[in-house]
Amino acid sequence: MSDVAALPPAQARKRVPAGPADLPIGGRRIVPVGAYSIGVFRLESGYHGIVNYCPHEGAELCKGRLTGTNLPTDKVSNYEWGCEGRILRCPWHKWEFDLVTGQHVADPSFRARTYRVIESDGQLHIEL
Amino acid sequence: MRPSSWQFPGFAGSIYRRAGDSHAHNAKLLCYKGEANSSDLLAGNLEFRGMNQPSRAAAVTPHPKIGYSLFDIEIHARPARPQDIATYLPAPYAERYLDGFLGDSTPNLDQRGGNDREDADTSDNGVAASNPALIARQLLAPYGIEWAICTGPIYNLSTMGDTDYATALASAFNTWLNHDFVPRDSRFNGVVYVAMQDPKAAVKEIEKWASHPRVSQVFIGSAGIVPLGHRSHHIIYEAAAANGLPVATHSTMEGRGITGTPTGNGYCSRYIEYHTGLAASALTNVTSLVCEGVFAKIPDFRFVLLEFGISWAQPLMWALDREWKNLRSEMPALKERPSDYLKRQLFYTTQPIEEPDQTRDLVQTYHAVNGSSQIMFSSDYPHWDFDNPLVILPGKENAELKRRILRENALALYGRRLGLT
Repeated sequence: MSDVAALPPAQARKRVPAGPADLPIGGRRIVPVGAYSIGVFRLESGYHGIVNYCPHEGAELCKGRLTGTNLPTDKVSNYEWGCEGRILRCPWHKWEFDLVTGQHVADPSFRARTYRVIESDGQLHIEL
Repeated sequence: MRPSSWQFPGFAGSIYRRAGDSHAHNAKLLCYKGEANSSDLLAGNLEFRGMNQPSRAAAVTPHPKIGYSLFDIEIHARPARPQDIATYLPAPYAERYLDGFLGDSTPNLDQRGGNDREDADTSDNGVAASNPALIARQLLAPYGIEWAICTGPIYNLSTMGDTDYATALASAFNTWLNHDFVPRDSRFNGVVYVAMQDPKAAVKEIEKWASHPRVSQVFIGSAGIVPLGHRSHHIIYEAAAANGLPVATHSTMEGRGITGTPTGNGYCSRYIEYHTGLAASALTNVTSLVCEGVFAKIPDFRFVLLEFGISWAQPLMWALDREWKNLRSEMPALKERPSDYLKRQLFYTTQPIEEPDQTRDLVQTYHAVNGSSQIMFSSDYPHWDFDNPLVILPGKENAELKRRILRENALALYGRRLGLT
């Protein structure tokens, strides 16, 4: 019995195939889903999905660079680099998003929708 | 935004050489459809054969979410190779240019990730916005842009200490842009670059290009050795107005070369301070143009601010009008309130658009500066702070203002000269 079948119908989430689970760490794949698309990224912590549409002006967020950032600090001129490999930076205006939570790093009132990515039998599925 | 390190992508270091390139004075010069020969181009003997195109109608499909086609007044078109410019420089300058000397030093302010949008299409030669077909594919077609002004890549001419080199570069870039690049897409229009250090040469350059049917305006940098209203510049503005050409200026030359410091108060530490503070430069230049009497003296003078923001203009108008009531006798040439001139003769561009929490606050500011005729859409392609015309100014109540900004205001300013209306 699949996981989907185990859930009551109202709670069952649709899953879309997202290709083989062969991405290297730091790798990505953009998967078309209806009128939009979703980026699947592999981090150290596993696979993560995020909408390929920046909540700011609609750029293809998942074409941005995967990087780190200077962590918040209480001291002036204190630059501590962190979150390496989990900050997704929009290709247009350089907005930084935490790929795991979808939160905009500077202003948490902005968020890009994230998706659970399930790996089974060597295949990936995005849970919508 | 321009890269603060002033290099074309093709220049990897201070020395540029590519196998197979030869110096311009030995090279076979590139000429658009062979309509002019090299000596004609270097001497400025241009004839614009084949450029009179009574019908400029391009097959443009408006974006369904907008419903009409757009006028984009800022694309940073670039030469694909340094040779494209060197071809039009006199031999000593060509060698200098190919050696990588592009002008002034920078204010040493830069930001992470470069100044182009990171998804800019560079699939052909690695230089964004150097191929009209790729600009059309990534910008013109998706957003339904029917007309565009290629403002090109160089606005530091007025910051160079070597006036003769700056003047030669202005001429070379004009030939490349208007003779080689613009004709490659019927939607493109060009500009005339001038170096403000030599006003007489600038006037000559304007007159050289004034009859070109696709030249839209004169293009100057935002900083030089004096504020833009200084009397030494007036003959340039008079020549532009006499030929029906607006004058546009582009931000980010502050702090370069022979200009002052990056901010009016000195050197700052970070790009964000510099970029935000550019509004102060606009404020200074606009005040100078008003108080030196340029708008009053030349009624046909039209001045366009590229990438300076807009909202600062509202309190500036309040302040200038108040000061005019107090101190009118310092500037007796002003017959109207300063804001009256500005609401008629000063134009603004959207990019980078300001983003208050509530769109209505932005709309209020736009109306306060007469934005329904004075603000125009600019994409700034391929730079990083590109604004998406589908997203800016949302709301049905703003639909008419948005239509004016995305299309009508630029048509009203440039359309007649470019044969579009």
